[in-house]
Amino acid sequence: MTITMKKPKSTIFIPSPSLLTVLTEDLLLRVLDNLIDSSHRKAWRLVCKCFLRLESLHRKALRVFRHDSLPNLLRRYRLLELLDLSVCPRVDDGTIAFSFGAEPGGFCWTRRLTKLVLSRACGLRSSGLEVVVKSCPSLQEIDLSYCLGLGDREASALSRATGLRDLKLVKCLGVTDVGLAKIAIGCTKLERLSLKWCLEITDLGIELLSKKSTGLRSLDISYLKVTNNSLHSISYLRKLESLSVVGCSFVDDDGLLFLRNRNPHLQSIDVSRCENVTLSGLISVVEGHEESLLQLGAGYCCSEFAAPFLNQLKELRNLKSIRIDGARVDDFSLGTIGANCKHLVEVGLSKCAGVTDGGIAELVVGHANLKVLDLTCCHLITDASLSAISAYCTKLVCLKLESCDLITQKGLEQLGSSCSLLEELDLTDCSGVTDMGLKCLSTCSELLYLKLGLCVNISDKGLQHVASKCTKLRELDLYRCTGIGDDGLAAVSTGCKKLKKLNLSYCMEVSDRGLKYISNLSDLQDLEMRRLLKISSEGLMAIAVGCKSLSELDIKRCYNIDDVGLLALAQYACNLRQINLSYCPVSDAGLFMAMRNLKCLQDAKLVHLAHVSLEGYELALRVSCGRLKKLKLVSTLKDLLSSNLLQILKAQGCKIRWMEKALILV
Amino acid sequence: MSECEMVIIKPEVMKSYIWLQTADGSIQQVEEEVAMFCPMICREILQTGMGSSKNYAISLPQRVNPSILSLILDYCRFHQVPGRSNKERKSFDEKFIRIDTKRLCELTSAADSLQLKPLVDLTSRALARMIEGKSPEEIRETFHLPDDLTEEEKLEPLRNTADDPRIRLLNRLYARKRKELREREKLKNVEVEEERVDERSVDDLLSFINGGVGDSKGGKTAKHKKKNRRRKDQAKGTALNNVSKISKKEPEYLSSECNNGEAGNIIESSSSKTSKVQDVAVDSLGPKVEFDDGDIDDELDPAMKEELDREVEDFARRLNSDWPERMQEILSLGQERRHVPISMNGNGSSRRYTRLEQRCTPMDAH
Repeated sequence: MTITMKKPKSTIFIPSPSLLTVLTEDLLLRVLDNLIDSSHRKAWRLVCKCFLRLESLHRKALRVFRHDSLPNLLRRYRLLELLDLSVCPRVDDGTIAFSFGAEPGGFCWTRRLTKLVLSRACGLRSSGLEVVVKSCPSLQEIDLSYCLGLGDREASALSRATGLRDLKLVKCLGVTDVGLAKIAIGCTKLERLSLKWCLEITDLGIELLSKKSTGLRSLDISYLKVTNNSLHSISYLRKLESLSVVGCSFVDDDGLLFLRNRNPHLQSIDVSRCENVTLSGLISVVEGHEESLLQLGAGYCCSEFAAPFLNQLKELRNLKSIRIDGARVDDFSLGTIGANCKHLVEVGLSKCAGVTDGGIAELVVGHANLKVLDLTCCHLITDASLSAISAYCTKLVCLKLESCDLITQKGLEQLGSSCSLLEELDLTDCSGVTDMGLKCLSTCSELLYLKLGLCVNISDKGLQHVASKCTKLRELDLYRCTGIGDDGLAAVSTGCKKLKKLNLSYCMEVSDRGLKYISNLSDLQDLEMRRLLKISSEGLMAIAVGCKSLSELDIKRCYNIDDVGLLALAQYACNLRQINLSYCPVSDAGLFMAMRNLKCLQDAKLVHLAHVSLEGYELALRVSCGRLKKLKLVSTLKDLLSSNLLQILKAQGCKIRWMEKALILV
Repeated sequence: MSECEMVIIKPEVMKSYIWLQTADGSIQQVEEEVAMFCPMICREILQTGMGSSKNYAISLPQRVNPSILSLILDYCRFHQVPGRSNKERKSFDEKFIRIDTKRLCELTSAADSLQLKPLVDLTSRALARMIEGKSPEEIRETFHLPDDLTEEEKLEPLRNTADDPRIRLLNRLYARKRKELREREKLKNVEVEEERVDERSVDDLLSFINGGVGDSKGGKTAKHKKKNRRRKDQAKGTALNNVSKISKKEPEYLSSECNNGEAGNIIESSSSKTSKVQDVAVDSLGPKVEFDDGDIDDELDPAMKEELDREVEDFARRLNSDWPERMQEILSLGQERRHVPISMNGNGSSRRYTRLEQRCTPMDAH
């Protein structure tokens, strides 16, 4: 038996019993239920045939990271309910026809599929969607966001998915009122619909939608060019619970008046960034929804919150979330909000002018359930606010204090001692944060996201405190923390094994040694390290070899990284999706190899690669043009690159941003 | 249903016993309220009336052997007592599952056959904890599982990255180059440093490009010697202090060479025994979601591949032809930025790294 285990007291001898002979498959599946982490499941899969088979029976959800592997995966996992192809933007009609098409055996894996994510699949057209709709009878949810080429024909194909309940069409620029009408008529069970950024849709489409899709519970028409008439139509949706009208500049108070006393189940409304909405509009929205309204988003629309609205707030007894970003507030208004809305869970005061310690103290009194508090850029608040927050909001999960630079160690100490459930903390640009402050904070052992960008007064010592206690950390931002060096990273690499995102840009002291520590973080997906002058290709090589999951990398202005580093990436970083190489002294060969080998690369920023010749650019882009979706190049190349190449890139759906920047090496 | 119901129905038989028989034939007496905690036994009693005497003992499923039964009864005995706090129960459970793997498996199986769901949950969670963080080999060893996956099943996810012939070639070339350099190093260990400054970059880069299309680097060095010298002369002006630094730090420099030799080996070996490294690479993306890399080797058809090869060759040729010009250009840049000449190093040859570090120091000091 195992070496580590104690010897059993009674020895009933069964000759080396395999787990398989003792446990039934049912029980093994139960064990598998308890394995959450993907790396553990990976190990499980590689144990033996039986385990491999069980895993493929067990899996219900799959997110495919590589277009190439799709057919194989679909052959293995036959019981999928969710399929996410959002990071395979190369999926097109052909792929769909091949993998979703009917199989000779009769039973098709698509039978059980209820949710499909196809966002950013630029090559998807109506024939592909027809196959999807035909082959997935159980389909309830489909996400087609950012499929820029989608138009009315595709909408019409989609309208045959009669079981559809949830549809996301964010930024499907080709869909017009006609397409929307088809969907409204075909998908009769539709409950949730997002039309954000579908700029072709007008009042007419919304009117038809409101008439046909009476079951709609959630609707997002943000940034559309619709007018008050649309709100009039929407007011007839009896079941509507959530409405998002962000950034609709043609909507004003008169439009919101239509919602007054309508939509009896309305729980959430967001009118942020609607320039023409004033307080009276908000008041009419609130009227008639006093009992039901849970969320109110009114950021950047009303500049001030005066007495009539505050009075109205008294009625919103059940309100859980309020966001009034960018407004001018005073102690009194914050006090009124705090005193009246007793069940607040989330308060957003980002960039609000006039937020003081007094106001915060009045706001938080008695709010033991407050979980999210956004005080970004509330420059006036000091430790006194933190003290009040710590005293009342002990269940706080997320606190944003960016640019609150009056905060000191004292405040953080109180925060650390009482808000032990904190998961997200933003202290960007808080110069009052010191090593001792971090030590106090390290008692928040649940922290997942910690932003310390521009905190110039912290050093490795402080980071060591955080790393030793906050072992669940997933995201750490150390942008321009000039006091941080390799020793701090050593602590991070041993303490925060779950780290997925790390920003080390401009941490000038970090060298290859630090990167070697970082390379132990096998979960790391996103690494930003701009202008680290002490790192070389050797460090990058360690990262490429060690950080298996790396999908985004930014090494802009790392002047000591050359082809060797790039070749290491080409060899190992096979999951890299985004890369920024701007200003790096790489040459033709390195660029070519990287662009050729990084099969998942979708987004490359290649501004001012001074040592890459025109031919180098040409070849590198040619070899990768099928994969690239976004490209950033210096504008002088616009005329130099062959028009043929640019045409190919365009045809493949790659967007190029031309930068008008002179080569300045800083 | 069960327990409480039973207590209400016959409160007078509180201290009665139930007879249980395990598969090996042995019979034992168990307090009724403890035995009733197992749904399977409870059902047996209620439905068939068995267990009331030794002759009518309830026969337990095959999977429950006497020693495991006593464990299960311990569990039932503790949990059937009402009024225990969650904390107490939790700490009991924690201690309870501290048994060896074999017994834990047997316990899981037995609990399942007695339909004792909370115990099945507890033990399967414990088994999962045991698997977590272990490599497939360790899991196999712990649970005596066969290693019956075919190579293909194991390697499936990485075939396409491993199969790039150019990369393999490149690696072989790197290895050869490293070896050569090391050899040369040994020979002229005592010689002046400047010679070394020389052999960086251009040759290496070219050799790999040439090598990449099937040309070994062989005589190239001599051909470029002149060019290099010129470059060196120019570089000297800027890098003079560095050179002296380097010579001072000689021992370190050598050791780093060795280390890097190892690093190189990793690359080198990758094409042959990629499995471990890349396998993990492929999978650990993202929480809950996973992916594998399918077969579809490179998805390039031979014709296209050939064309690519041609392109590369062509590219290498062009690179060769305009190299001197480019070098001049780069060197003039190097006046402002010292690292540039180094950055031209195209080869995996290692010693440069230390140099870079050393270079950083004086630069920062300025």
